[in-house]
Amino acid sequence: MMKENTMFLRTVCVLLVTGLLGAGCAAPGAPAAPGAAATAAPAAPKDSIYIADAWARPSPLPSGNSAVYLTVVNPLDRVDHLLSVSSELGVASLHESITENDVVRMEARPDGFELPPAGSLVLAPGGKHVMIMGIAEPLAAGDMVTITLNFEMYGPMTISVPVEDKPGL
Amino acid sequence: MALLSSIRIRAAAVCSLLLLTIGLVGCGQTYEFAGTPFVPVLDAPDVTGVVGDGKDFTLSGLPEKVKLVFFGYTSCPDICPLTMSTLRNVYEQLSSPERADVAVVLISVDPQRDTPAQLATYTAAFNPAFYGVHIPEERLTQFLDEFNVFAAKRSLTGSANDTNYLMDHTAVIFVVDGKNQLREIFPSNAPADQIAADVRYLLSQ
Repeated sequence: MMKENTMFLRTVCVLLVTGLLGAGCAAPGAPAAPGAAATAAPAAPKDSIYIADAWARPSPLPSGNSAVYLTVVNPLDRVDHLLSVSSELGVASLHESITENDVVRMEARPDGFELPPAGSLVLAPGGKHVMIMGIAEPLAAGDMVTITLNFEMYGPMTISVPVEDKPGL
Repeated sequence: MALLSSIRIRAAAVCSLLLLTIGLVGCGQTYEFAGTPFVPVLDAPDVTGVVGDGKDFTLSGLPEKVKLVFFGYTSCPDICPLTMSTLRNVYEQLSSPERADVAVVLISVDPQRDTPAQLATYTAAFNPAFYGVHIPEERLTQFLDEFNVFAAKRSLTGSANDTNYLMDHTAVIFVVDGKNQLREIFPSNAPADQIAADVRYLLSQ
């Protein structure tokens, strides 16, 4: 009986302590998952590569630069390559931001990026992206950007991409 | 029964002591920064430059208490807008009175192409309250050294006269407190809520 009571108090004590550690000493903010949740593309084709989640950065200044981010999904069992990109807006090229020791450099990727079979190629902020330089007029959220992606197997694919001002991205 | 009571009281006392100990020691008396802290803290280099409307800018003369300082440039297509967007996210997480005490400062590492007016337009696209600071090249080098920030042109054509160059540069966020001391550094991809939490702590000091 006495043992049971002591056990009970111990349990309460442990629970209280755990609660205190969990709540009172909570770390100041857990890392937030960056980026919006991926939305499922409706009726995604199964017999062809397709583009998901494409958006372009605003370019606030005349003669400015922008970047386009997107995911290329490859449902096929053969590899493809995104070889190059073009846009009437400006000089478009495939680039990758590389961060080493807090220094960021942008490297041109003249050979493009591989699109693995039954996989995807993700172009995202802080990494691989389409760079467009020398865009005459400023681009704001709501504008559209047209680019042509040239794939080794698929061939050219022209897409229209919305300019979006994404929080935290 | 009396013995049982006595055990209960003793157990409760031990429990209280434990809670008190954790309250004092477990939580810690010192605040732990989410970024990389300066130990010891250093005086922030007193950056002087010009902002968009032609006004002189000095970091130490800002009315805001906490400063978030980033070195970048306006034709940067990826990392700089990503970082500025993160800083805007931090700013928008703060309450209105907190925001009044926080300055977001972009210092251009590309003074050759970035004019003060361009910097003002660029920073205003993120938030009109943000500062875009232009420092002439000869003085910029000194401030970059003092902040230990690297910046170098990367030509896309290999030509020395290439005007469409990019900049390799240190992309971190410096957090400066109300005493104009460097307190910590965040990488450019740090979560906004971690930065906001540290800003709130410094505002409370």
